[in-house]
Amino acid sequence: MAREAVLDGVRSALAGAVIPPLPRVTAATVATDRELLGARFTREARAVGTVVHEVAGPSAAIEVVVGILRALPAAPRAVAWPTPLARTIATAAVAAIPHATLRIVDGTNDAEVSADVAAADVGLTTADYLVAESGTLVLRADGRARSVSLLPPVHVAIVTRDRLWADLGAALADLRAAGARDSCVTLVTGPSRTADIEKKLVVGVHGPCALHVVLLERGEA
Amino acid sequence: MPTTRASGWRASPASPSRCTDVAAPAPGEFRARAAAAAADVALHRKLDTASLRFLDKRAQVFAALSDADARRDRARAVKAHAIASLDTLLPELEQRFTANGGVVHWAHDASAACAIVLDIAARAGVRLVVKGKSMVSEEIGLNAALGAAGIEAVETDLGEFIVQLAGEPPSHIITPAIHLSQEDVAELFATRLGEPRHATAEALTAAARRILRAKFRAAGMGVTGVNFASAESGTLVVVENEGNGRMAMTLPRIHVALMGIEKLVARDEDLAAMLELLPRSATGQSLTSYVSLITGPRRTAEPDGPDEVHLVILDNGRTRLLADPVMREALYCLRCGACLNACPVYRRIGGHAYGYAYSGPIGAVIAPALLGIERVADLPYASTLCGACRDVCPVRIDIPRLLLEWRARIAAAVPRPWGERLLVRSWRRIAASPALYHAAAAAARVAGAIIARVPALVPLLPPLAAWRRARELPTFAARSFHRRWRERRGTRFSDGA
Repeated sequence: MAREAVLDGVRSALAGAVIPPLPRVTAATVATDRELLGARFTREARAVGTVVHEVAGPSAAIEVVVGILRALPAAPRAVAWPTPLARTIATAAVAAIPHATLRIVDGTNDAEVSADVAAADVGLTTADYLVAESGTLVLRADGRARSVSLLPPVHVAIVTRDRLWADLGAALADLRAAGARDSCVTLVTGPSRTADIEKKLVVGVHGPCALHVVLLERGEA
Repeated sequence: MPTTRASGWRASPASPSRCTDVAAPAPGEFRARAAAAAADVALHRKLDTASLRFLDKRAQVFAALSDADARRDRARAVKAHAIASLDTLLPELEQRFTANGGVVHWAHDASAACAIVLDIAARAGVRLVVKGKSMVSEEIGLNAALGAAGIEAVETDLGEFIVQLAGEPPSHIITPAIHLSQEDVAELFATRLGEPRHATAEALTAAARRILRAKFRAAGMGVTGVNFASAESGTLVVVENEGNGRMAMTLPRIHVALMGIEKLVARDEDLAAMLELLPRSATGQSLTSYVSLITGPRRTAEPDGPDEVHLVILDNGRTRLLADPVMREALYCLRCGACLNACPVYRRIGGHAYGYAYSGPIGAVIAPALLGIERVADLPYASTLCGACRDVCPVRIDIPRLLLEWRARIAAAVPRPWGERLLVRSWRRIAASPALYHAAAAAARVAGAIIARVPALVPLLPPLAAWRRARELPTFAARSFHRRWRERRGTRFSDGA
């Protein structure tokens, strides 16, 4: 009944209204030159406070992650997505730190997921797309806990260069073409921030205080 | 139920029912509030600092954006199409969102919307609600409704959290605590939360993070607004910088999204077109830290996320704008707040003076339709018509034209005082006749000279006294421009004349 009340109101309000044409969709930009895209991504991401580490392959990526873990409080607790690159690199890096712990979040046991992730010092993920134009990570939820990139104070995303796309429209078009049915797709552009007090920029309000992107030339050793 | 057409403002003496009357202004209060704010120099400083910084950053990112004007035209076309197609797009959104496992609710007015949220909360035994920033929630007075039902509602956007502690409504669409200084916030945290008197914005933010993190984990329901929705796939888009929206949409078992009917676009492709402009206009960012694209509750293969996602689609007077071919374009608004920052009137009186969730130039356009013009008849006059709002609007809403249209409707419905009518009628005669104009100008010069010499006369002339209260009376030049022009004709400008 409420539905009909609103829709009847809309219909009678629009009686006789002319519908202007939809603008044509601009063709998706096809990513060709990964060198250029990588440089653009790095520039834009750094401009919003993301720390970008460009490395050759997995062994260098592990070194970078070890460095990030060393900067955390002693015996850091890590959580990671079960995606292969995140799992492999997180496992190797955590093994190099005394008393560090790692939990791969792949189950759907709410209480455990939420308690482990909430207590973690760092969350490690991959990213499904990198958007060069805005320095943005696109994170799907399919099999990956959203909270891993949200609750821990440090978020590390480990991504290979073949995930680079020129702009958001192109990345989202590809996601649709892949038939993604995720309940949530998150675009992340820099760490959590606010300027609600006298327009002073403060980083790390509710989400991560630091965002690292480890950008790999190749995913295999 | 057929909607009353919006053409006359008599349509709605009692129609915009509300959960509470907190934000519903009474006629005449605007002038008093505006006068008080206009005298508050400290407020001006805070408003200028924030607004001008926003405008500056906005100008920079638009200058760096290729084809910015074409992108604005495209965004306007996307909204124009969607608003004129709402009768088909709304059912399409409903169908897709439901197919994705979400639940759609329809609310004709504010109290219906509040009742829907209360009902969802009651069924699930929710005692604590965490809220992402939502202007619709302010519009419908949801916090008061939840509070009356014994449910704690916590604002989690830092600015909203601050104004909630202060017991005030937000005073800006994007930066709700724009009217408070860092010292004001430290004082609030000390008195209301028992915090030590924090000396930096960083320390205050860290305190809010700590306090609110516990709330996110304990809450049974998260409530957010919606920035855009795509009918094609039933996707809701939530734009934010802090991560509190993500928390409210991820941790509690139930997510309720509140959306006005005007937030729709037809296609998924249109979302990227709108996302290009909203953060740039609002805060001067290429993209905000977080954008969430939500299509429903968590799937079986997803480790976290809400089990229930509800979408409340709200009319609350919007169909009155929709039915009005002149005013309809006000529904294109993205709520970026750029027109507030650009407005010289807003920068002197702030958001609270307007007395409504939506302030500034766009608020002065939509409040008369949403609330009934008789309740906010002063708002369309709170503008110098300078056009700065139109220049910064990402979808090019012609706000000055719409404000003039409201003024014309007000004047047509309620006759202006006889003195004012006489003045306008006389002016029409005088301006149409050179002889009368010169005579009137000469008389004004004489009168001006007398008043300048005898200022005590001013209070005896009521319209002049009112005008004079905030202005200096200009002194007329001894000789008029026309006269000087005639005198010079023979000399310097003779060739061209």
